[in-house]
This record gives sequence, structure tokens and C-alpha cells, in this order.
Amino acid sequence: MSEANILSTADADTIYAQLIDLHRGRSDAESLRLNARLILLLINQISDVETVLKLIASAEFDTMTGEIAS
Amino acid sequence: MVIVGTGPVGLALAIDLGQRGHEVLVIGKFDFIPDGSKAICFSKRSLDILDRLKVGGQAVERGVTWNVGKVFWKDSREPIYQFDLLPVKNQKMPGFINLQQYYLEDLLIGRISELPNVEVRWGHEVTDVSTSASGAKIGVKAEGGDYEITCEWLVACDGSKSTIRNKLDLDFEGRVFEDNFLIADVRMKGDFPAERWFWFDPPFNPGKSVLLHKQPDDIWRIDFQLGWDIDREACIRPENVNPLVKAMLGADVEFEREWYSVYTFQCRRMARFVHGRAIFAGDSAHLVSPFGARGCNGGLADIDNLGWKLDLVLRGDAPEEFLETYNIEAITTADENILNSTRSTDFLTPKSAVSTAFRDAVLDLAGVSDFARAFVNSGRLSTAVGYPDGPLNSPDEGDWLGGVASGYPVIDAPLDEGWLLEKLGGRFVILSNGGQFDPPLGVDHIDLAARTNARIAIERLDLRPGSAYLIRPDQYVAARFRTPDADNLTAALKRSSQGVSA
Repeated sequence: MSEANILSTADADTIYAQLIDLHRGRSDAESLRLNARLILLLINQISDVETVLKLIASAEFDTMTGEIAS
Repeated sequence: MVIVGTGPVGLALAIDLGQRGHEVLVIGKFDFIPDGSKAICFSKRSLDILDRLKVGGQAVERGVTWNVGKVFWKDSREPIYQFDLLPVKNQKMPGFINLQQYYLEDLLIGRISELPNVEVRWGHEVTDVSTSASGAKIGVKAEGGDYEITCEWLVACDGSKSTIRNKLDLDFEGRVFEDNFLIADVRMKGDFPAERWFWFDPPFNPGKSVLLHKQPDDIWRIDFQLGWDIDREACIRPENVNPLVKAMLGADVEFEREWYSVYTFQCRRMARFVHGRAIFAGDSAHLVSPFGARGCNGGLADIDNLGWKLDLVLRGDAPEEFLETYNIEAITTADENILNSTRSTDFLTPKSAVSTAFRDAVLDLAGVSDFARAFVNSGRLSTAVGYPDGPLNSPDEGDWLGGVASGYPVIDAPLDEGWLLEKLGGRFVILSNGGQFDPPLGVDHIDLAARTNARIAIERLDLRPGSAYLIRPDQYVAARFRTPDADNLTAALKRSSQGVSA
């Protein structure tokens, strides 16, 4: 997988905590919906079809080999 | 000057104040050093502090040195993430040591015995406390007869169930985490390296976590996450613990039980650590989860901050209000520790389906992709906490890009035949690289231009010729100057030693 900028652990922790807080006290259905919204917002931020399609494909990878499922 | 509590925090403060020449009385309710499992991981910052108290070398010698942590997931043989806690080499102290708390207490007691002005009363229990504008009064229960003591200052280092805090009816707010962890300290000849190994969801504790640390004397600490709904009595019985340990180590590894116990944890702190003449330090003031080794290390950071300030106030060189800066800076440290510890705990023990999904997604990705490794949180280990907006800092004079900013501890480096931090000691120091200026009266001056083997120190501090730092007695930077002179040095000294600007 290609690597863009790598976050510091401090920044990663801040973002992660915010994500978990977003879901605190929500039902699973609400959380699914929130995550879907978030993904769409991120896609909008990326705003490049090729990149987005590549990222969608790479979400489905083999955890042992890192290879993308076909 | 009375300190209540004979744990590492109380004993270390007694040494600091004792070394500064004060009469110190320490009162503790135990008449022995309690054994069993308590703190084991001591950070580089704590070792620097202990070195100033003259037990750092012994602690390193007695302990197991480690710098590397590894994180495993499921049955992976290779770590999905690893970190080095001493990325900058060429420092006197290592990133971490593991040492049983009672060994550290033993070293501290040894050091106290060299200080005739420090007295420790073992087996004396505080039963009453009251404070006034000029001091504190405590009632003490002891075998030889009960008695009362009045003192100018009372420091409560008496742990999470602090008698002083309770008797003064003070707050201790926070969050309880609904999980249980089993500590199994076992004696064995293991061939694991001296590293911190952490497993998420390993086959020997499915769905939960395990942490392994090496201690001196062939003792290994294994920390199993157990979950919330368990029988706390049953889970520490050897017939229940031994199979867990065996499953982890393999059936052919022989081990002996050293200590089994179960714990839950909380993140809490008092709203204030200074209550008139009663001051709180260590677990009495703040509690964190153990992941990150921020408990005892946080307590040692407290007394490091408090010792020199109390010294100035006791001597009459700073006003009583100066101790408010302890309240501010120690709370900054406690909040940073609580924040990190809470985040680690949320990652380690997800509380909902979505939280678990994010955690597992991070672990999924971490095995194949660098970016995700930054999100893997098996505990963010204790490092020195900075006070970038601290009340004792002066703004930079001149142009500074590198080096160590005001409100952060000086980084160690070789100097002469030894090390920079040893030379700084526990007093105010002006550290320069040449330069023409008159240091303020009574402040020591170390000129690196006149020393040997100073190149790394000069680089690490960005000490271009003519520049200078003003360094506090706890080795934190108070101010730095490209063109130091008597006026700007004196003004910065006044701010950092009085808490007021000139």
C-alpha cells in the first residue's frame, strides 16, 4: 500500500479519541450511519476519482499478505 | 516539614529536601516495606530525577534495562508495531528500567540513612489533620503512645486512599473503568528478551490482551485482561492462574508463583493539589490506569517539581504563593497522564461494537501499512511532560528554532568525562556557549566553551556561540537568550524563582 504523510502518535491518538467520542452512547445503527457519512465527507475531501477507487479496493486486503482481494 | 507516606514518592521528596539541608520528618503507617506487585517500570525521566537524588546508578544496576516495546496481534510471530523509548542515544540513563517497587524503596531508604536531617517514623499512623494559615497539625497513633505534631508544611504522599485527603474532606473526581486485570508475577528461566511485549487477542487469552515484562531475579510480570464479570476471588487461585500462564509459555516451561493479584483501575485527580499548608503529590493527588507506567513516574515528576519550590519558600527566598506554580505545573502533568492513560484504555478495552471495529481495523492495517501503526495504542509510555505555557517561563530572546524550549526538560548529552544533567544538579544554572555577560549573583554558570566533549550538548541545545539558557533546579528550561546580559538574565531568574515578572 502506498504511504502518504504518516501522523505522529500524538496526532493519531487525538484523532482516534475524537472518533471514539463521536460514537459514545450511540446505537450500532446510528454508528453505522455516522461512519458512512464520515466516509462520504472524506471522499469529498479527496476529490479524486482514481484515488478514491484505489482506496475502496485497498480496504479489502488480506491481513497476512497485505494483498488486495480480487 | 512533615511528609506523610513512605512509598517512593514520599521517600524521594524527603531526600530532595534533605539534600537541600531541611529538617524533614516522614511518617508512614507501615513498619515494613510491603512486597507484592506495584510499580515496576521507571522511565528515563524518573531515572534522571533519581540520579539527582543519588540512587539512579544503583537503580539501573539493580533493574532490567529496556528500550524497545513490541506489539503482537492474534498468533502473529512478528510484531505488527514496535517502538524505541530512547530514540536519542548518548544519554546517561536508558529509556526504561523494570525494578520491583520494594527494591526502589530499599535504595531510597539507604540514601535517607546518609542524611542525618531526615527522620522516618515507621508504623506511625496519621489519625487527624487540620490546617491553618501558618501550618498544619496532625494527630498520630503509634505503639509508644499517640501524639500531635505541628508543622509549617505538610505534604501528603499517602497514596490513592490518602488519609490526609479524606480527613480534610477533599474531592477526588474521575472515571472508573469496567475491566479486571490479573497480575501474575512468576519466576522462571524465560528466553524472552528484555522488552515490553504486548498482545492483542492472542490464542492464550482470546479476545483480550496480555502484557509481558521482565523484572530482576528471573521474575516476569504477565498481565492478563480478564473482563468485567468475573469472580475476583476465584481468578487469583493458582489452579485458575496456572493454566493461563502455561498456555502462554508452553506446557514445558517450568515456573513458580511469585505473586498473583487482580486489579481494576480508575483515572482520577483532585481539583487542586495545594490546599493552603497541605500539599498533595503522587497517587493521593491523581490516579491513572497502569498502561503507560504513568503512576509512580507521575508521582516522581510531582516531587521533582515541588522539592526546589518548597526549598525556596522554606528559606524565605520565594513567597508562599510561589507554590501555586506547583499546583499549575503538576496539574498539567497529571492531565497529560490521565489523557494518555484514558486513551490507551479506550483502545485496549473497546466498550462498544463500533469501538471494537475501529480498534480491529487499526490492527488489521498495522500489519501491512505504516500509517496505521501510529494508531496502535498499547500504552503510551511515560515521558517528561512539558509546560509550554508554564507561569515560570520567559519568552525566547532572539531566534530559536532547534534546542529545548522553555518549559521542557534539558535533554542529556555527554560532557567532560560524564554527562550534562549530572553537572546541572539541582540548582539554578546558566548554561552558555561562551558569551560576555555577568551572571546574576548566586547563580552558577556552566560555560560549554570552556568544557571538553561538549559538541553533542551544544548541538542538542542549539547553543550557538554567545547563547545561553537559564535552567531551573528541576532541569527544566526557564529561558534562553541569543544575547544574554545581566538585565534579561536577572528578569528571567526573578520570574522563574519568584513566579513574578520583573
